[in-house]
Amino acid sequence: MFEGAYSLLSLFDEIKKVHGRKKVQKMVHLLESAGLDLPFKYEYHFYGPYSAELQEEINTLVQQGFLTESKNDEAYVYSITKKGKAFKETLEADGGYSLKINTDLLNSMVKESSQFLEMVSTYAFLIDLGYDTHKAKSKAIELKPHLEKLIDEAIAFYDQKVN
Amino acid sequence: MKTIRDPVHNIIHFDKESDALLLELIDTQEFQRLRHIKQLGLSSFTYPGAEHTRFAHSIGVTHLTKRFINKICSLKDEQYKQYSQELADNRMLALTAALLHDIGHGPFSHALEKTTGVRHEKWTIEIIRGDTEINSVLKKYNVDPDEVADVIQRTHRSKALVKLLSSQLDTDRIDYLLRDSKMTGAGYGSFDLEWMINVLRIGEYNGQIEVGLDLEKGISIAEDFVMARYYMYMNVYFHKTTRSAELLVDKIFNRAYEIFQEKQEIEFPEDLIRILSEKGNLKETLHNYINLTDNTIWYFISIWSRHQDSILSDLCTRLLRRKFFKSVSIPDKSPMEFWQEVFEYSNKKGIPIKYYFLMDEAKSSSYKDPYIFHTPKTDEKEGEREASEQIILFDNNGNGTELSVISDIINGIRNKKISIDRYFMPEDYKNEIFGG
Repeated sequence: MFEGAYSLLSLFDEIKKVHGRKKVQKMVHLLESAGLDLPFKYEYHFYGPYSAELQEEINTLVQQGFLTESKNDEAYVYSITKKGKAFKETLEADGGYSLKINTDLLNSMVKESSQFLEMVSTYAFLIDLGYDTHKAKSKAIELKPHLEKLIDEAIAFYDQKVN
Repeated sequence: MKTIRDPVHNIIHFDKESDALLLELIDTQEFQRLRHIKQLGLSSFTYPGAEHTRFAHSIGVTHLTKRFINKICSLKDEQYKQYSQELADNRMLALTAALLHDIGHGPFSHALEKTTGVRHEKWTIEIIRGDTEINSVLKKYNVDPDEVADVIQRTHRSKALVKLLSSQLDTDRIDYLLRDSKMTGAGYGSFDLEWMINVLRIGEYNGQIEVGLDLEKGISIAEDFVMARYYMYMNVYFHKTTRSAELLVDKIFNRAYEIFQEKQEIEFPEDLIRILSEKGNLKETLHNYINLTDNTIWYFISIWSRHQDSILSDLCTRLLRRKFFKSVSIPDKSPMEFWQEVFEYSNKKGIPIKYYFLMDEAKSSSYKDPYIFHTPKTDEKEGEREASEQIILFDNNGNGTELSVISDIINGIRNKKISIDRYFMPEDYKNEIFGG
């Protein structure tokens, strides 16, 4: 019943704070790509894979007081509230909710820039569509020529942490 | 000339020579299968006329895409030249993508996706790229299947092509709104298509190519279009009866699969067993997927309504006899309070929560409309914004303006907080917990 809300509260409880909506989008996409069972559907948009459902879920959690949204250096910053943490713990205790998060991947992503994650996420999206690694690389460069210098590092990150 | 009569577009022509590829694609096994996949799933429980299929919709989108391309190519001003050329060069690719954009939809798509863990978009790509009649026809006509897949997945280099089929003003959405409105009988989903095409424009806005409308002549039709979407969403796509039926089907799949996994006795579609046992190997199970239609699933729902498992038989019987769960709208109650009440009640009565207390949110519906339901944030910096959620009006010099900036009506709709989340449960539980 609260699967989407619970999964996001679990993520935010683990990482405490995320700077930027784009970064949240790409982090959740890469967690899904790595096999985490999340209910958010992604489509390819201007900044790479984007889930309108994820943004809606975040907006709802903010409205309900489970997440806070503030602005810092023009980017939106999200973090879990006490109320959010309490709801998450209630769902775990009473409803048997649980989520096994790849914390190594999650913490690695927190350290990266949103642009870098945009490239990793775009590459992952293409691999997920059935592109082989060679075609995915050239397609990612075609889609993001301004980020071409990040591609090798992005592929290495994908191979080590996501795949 | 091949002529098709259509309830939305009236007469649809396919030229036997220039459209030979499209006609051959229509005749493939995979495309003919769409005759057995309903466009609106379970909406006919609410609107009995809504029996139309993805087959008719896909042909409608192709026809509309042809008209859109013809219109853009007829625009003579210098600013349109590059787009006209781009669309003219890729005309057959655009029409092919339009025809095949829904080819991977399965029966009860949403519930099936949850069970198999494979989204229909991935089947679409596999049907286009894999060992299928569609793939053979594309190759016969020297159309690159990868390019068709790229247009559908929005990753094609020609953004004009992508936006034509997938944007806030795309041919897919326009056809399904008009078709769903016509077939449900819900007239408020209709709008003036002829005028919309007449004032169709294309241009660049914030560094992106956008299909838009004429600034002077297009505001009224743009407003009509957004209002039609709003009404259709509120009254058809998110109708409480339809959503109740959809949630019930989710739970039926859930329960049947649980019984199957526990190796209890249950009849299960052979093709679905193969898909589940191959765990996401799309290549190996493609033909099993193609075999699944609405008819297959309805047959099994009928069988399961007599199953010894009381939850499964109850859920199936409720669906077959239209005895759906009732909705509770409790905007003042927080999810936490609701959860605690339901938890206490179900514990006391021994009712399995996950099958009998269902939460429904706009975002969990298969129809989504972020343009209407996302409050726009005007103060965010470029990198924070997903620029595709806009409807652009272009002036004579090609300068674009977002619709909600110049339309008070649309601005009002976009900034209105629309809360339509609700909970569903059997009527007797509802009466006992909430007092009727």
